[in-house]
Amino acid sequence: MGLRILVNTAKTRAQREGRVLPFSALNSPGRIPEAAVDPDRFRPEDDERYPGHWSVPPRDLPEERLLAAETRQLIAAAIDSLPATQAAVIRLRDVDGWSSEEVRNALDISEVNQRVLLHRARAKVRRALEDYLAPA
Amino acid sequence: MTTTDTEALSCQELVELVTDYLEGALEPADRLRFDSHIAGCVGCTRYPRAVARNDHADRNDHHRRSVARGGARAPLGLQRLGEQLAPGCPSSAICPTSTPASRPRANLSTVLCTP
Repeated sequence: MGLRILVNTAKTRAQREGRVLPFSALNSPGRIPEAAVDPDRFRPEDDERYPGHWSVPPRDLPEERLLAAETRQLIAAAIDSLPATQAAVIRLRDVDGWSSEEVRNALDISEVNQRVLLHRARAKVRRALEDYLAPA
Repeated sequence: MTTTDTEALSCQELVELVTDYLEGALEPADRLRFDSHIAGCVGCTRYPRAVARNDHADRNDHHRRSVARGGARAPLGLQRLGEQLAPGCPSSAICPTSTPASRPRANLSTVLCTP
C-alpha cells in the first residue's frame, strides 16, 4: 500500500485499531481486550501468592536463530498479517528505524495512537516469534 | 498510560506497559514500579522488547537522513527487555551493576515470581 493512500486511511483506522484502554482495565488485566500476552500464561487474579505473575514465562529465544533469514521471513509475514495501520507503524519504527515523531507526522496520528498501535503490533509479532522459535 | 495504584506491578500488568515504558511515556511513579519489577523478574527480562532487525539492506532514504541528523534511534534489535535496562549484562534477573543506588529493591514477590 502506498504511503499516500495509507495516510488517508490511517486516521480512521488508527481510531479503531488503536483504541486506548481505560485505566481501570489494568486493575483486571484478565479482561484486557487484545491482551499483549495470552492471559492463560499468568497466574489467576485470585492466586494466593503471586496473582498476575507468569505461570508460563517467556521462553528464551535462541540467539543464533534470530539472525537467520527464515526468522526475518517470519517477522515479515507476521507484520503482513497485521491490520494495515499496525503494520505500517511497526514497519516504520522497527524495520525502517523512523522515530515516533516521524511516524506520527507521516501517518497523521496522535502520540497515544502511535504507541497503542506499536504495542499491539509488537505483541503479535512477539507471539509469532516465540511460537516459531521456542514452541511450547 | 497511567495506573492508579502504587502496589508492585504484576507481570501481566507489566507486559501491557512495556511499550509506554520504552517510549518514555510512563509517569515517574509507574516507571519506578516498572524498574523495580524488572530488576527482580527473570520472566519479564526475557520478554523481547522489540521485533525487527537492523541489518536489512533495504533501509530507505528517510532512514539514512534520520540517522545522519541524529534525529532517530537506530532500528531496534530483538533483545530481551532486561538488556535494555542492563546493557552488556547477562540476562540474569539481578544485576547489581545496573542498579542505581536510588532504585528501590525489588520486593520479594517479584524476585520469586518466576518458577
